[in-house]
Amino acid sequence: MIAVAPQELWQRLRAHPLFRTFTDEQRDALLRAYAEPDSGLVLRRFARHQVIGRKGEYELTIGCVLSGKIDLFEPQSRGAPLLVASIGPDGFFGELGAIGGAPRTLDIVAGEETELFEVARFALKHLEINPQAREMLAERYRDRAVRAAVAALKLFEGVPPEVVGELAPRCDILRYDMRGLPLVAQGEAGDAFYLVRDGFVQVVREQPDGSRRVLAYLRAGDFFGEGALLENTAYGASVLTAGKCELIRIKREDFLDLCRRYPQVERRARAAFSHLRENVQHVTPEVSELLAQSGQLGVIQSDALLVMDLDLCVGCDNCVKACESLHGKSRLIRTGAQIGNYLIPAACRHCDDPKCMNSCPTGAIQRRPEGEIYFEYEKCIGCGNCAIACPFDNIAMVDTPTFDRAQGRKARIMNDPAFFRPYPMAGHELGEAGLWQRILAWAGKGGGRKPVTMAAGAPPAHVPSSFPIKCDLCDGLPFMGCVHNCPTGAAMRIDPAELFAGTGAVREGSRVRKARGGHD
Amino acid sequence: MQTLSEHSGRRHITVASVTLWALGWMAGVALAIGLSRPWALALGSYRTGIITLAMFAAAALYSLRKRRLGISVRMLRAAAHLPRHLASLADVMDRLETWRLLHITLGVLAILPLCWHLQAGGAASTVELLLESVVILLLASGFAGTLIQDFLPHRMRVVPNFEVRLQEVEEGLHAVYVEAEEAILGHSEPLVQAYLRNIRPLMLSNLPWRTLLWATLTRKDPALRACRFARRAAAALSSDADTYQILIGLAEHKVRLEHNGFNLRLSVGWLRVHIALAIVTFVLIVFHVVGALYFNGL
Repeated sequence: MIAVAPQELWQRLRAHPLFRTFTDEQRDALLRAYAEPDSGLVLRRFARHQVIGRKGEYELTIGCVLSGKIDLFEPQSRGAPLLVASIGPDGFFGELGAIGGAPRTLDIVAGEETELFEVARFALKHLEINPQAREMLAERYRDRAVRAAVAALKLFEGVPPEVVGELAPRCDILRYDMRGLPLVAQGEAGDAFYLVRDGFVQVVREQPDGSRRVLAYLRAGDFFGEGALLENTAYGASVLTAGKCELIRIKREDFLDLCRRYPQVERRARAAFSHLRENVQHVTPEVSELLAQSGQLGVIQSDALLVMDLDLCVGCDNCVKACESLHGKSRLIRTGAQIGNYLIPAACRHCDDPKCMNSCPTGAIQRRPEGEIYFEYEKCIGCGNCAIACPFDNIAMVDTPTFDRAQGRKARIMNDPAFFRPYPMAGHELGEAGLWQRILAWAGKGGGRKPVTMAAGAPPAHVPSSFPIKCDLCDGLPFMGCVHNCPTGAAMRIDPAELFAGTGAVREGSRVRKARGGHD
Repeated sequence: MQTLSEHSGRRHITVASVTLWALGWMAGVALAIGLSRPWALALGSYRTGIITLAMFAAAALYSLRKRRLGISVRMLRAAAHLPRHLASLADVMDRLETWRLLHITLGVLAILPLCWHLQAGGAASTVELLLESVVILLLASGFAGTLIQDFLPHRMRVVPNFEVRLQEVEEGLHAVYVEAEEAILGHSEPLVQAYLRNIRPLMLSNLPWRTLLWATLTRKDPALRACRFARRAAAALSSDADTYQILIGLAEHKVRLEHNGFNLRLSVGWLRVHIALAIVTFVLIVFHVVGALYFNGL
């Protein structure tokens, strides 16, 4: 990070296309924000060959190249990474992450000594204040979103990138934030093909008796509408949004044109459609009911769901005790909704669309490439927005002394003083009284609380009165305490799609490694 | 929905249910006791005593493992340096469910050296008779706990409006009572009298624990039996019959919540008895060992 005066920064930014049309007022607002700490606007310099970002990382920032050059590489399982593109001065990257919340799709390396102006997701407002910049970002976003989505789909394998490039401007990007909005209606003539780029949509069919049956959930990487276009019929089911989602809409004529030019696309689309039709046969009314309930409770939209098999759970609360013993304060409450014979206790679900992360004004909530959502307490200002935003009440605010003691315990368990990252406080005792300390205190020979060694660091300018806590899947530990300490094997961390394994109603696709394993 | 536990590999450790596991071991131990009597006599009381003590100590490690997760963290961190399959084996071995299985197995197997020790020893003193009785109770409580842990969760779940924590049961009981009291307001005198006579006593009193235990064992709904007199009185109320039916429904809900609470207490309560007996056993073993060494020498 380089600290330069706001006016000097503007000298470097003014030539960049994103900032070229800024008015004086917009410029002043941007520079005022830049001068504030933790504004999300940072100027950085990278040496030649220095890695700026890795594929899979959730660095939700836009990087504007001010000088030098960056290279984008596709990592290969064997051999050297493949150079995909280079971006020189006046270019920018990272809009998929900053706007769409998606992880990095390529490795980013400085091709030569490079200067970047980074704009974090939460600071995009300073850029989008300018209509031209906003338009430029939206256009680039559409182009890259279509390219990335098409490249990731087996359906379009063999379609040359230039054809995709021609197609991109004719596609629509549809973004929704609410559940239950109709995308296509059963019985309507098929007029487009849809690709789910992010989030989930719900497939519902109206029965002859008027009742509605939830048939499936489609997630990022799934598609629909191909059956109606290829068969030239009406849509066989309605599709509704199942929360925040983003779709790419390819018009009927464009999709049919692709199928004509590339017969393998049509073949694969027909195969996928018949597979879906076959899967739907397995969805009984009972499964449909559970699917509907899971969608309403936000279970489907979780990435790592803690479930407890109520046929095995003996109510011993060992899971809660383990959480408390590892983290000082439990991040799990053994109560919640029930789906079938599974209890969904109150513990962070590491949502596909984390509302907490999007609501944080300082970017203190981050997502690892492995999918876990965690707090960067150094940046936390204790505003509590995340706790309010969490739709499942899985984030608790605890007062700073309690929080410090809890972190002290975790630091001891981790055997790593550097883990004690948040603001050091001198005003209260840290640590907890262990057995030996209690015996000494009882015998009148000292005792008290175990001291906690803290990592050195500059004292903070502001200490919040409270901090948020939530499950971080026992970040840094070799297991998940609650799951590992369940005496009957009732507690499991799963990809919620596993709840419907065998029905084909939801495709597995959790990004959280610890949930994909099914157990710790 | 049925395949999740298998899918996540959690139940692969328990070959059959834990109860079958314990019963199988018990049968094996009983057979071994019969066959090994001459060998036990040859070993002598000291050696058999040491083996018994070691078995009890090993079984007691489960309690330590449950409370000290820091040991697991260190152990599994060290195991992470091993080859992948060994590391994942260490992870499975350190799970509490594996420890529980080991605890039960050791508890059952401990009967064998205990019987050898009894066969090899001389006439028992009062402390030793007491120790024998407490150990039998300890083993019995462990077995009862295994049965409870194995069968009660499913039994609890099939009851309508099932709650998973006692806190919610307590809150539910309060809420049901308030709802019933509010529902009666503004209704006719006969209904109020019927409520005061037949339903309110159910709301304010608790069913005897024997009734609730019997309901758990027989898998019968205690609410139907508890509310039968209240239901009979419904015939006399013609105008307010609907409200009375709602009140009966609330009374049934209250009884089911009470049963739910009883089951929840039972599912963890046995452990308190088991731990208390384990502590008494430990104290008596100390007495026994010190006494044996003092009077008989090494």
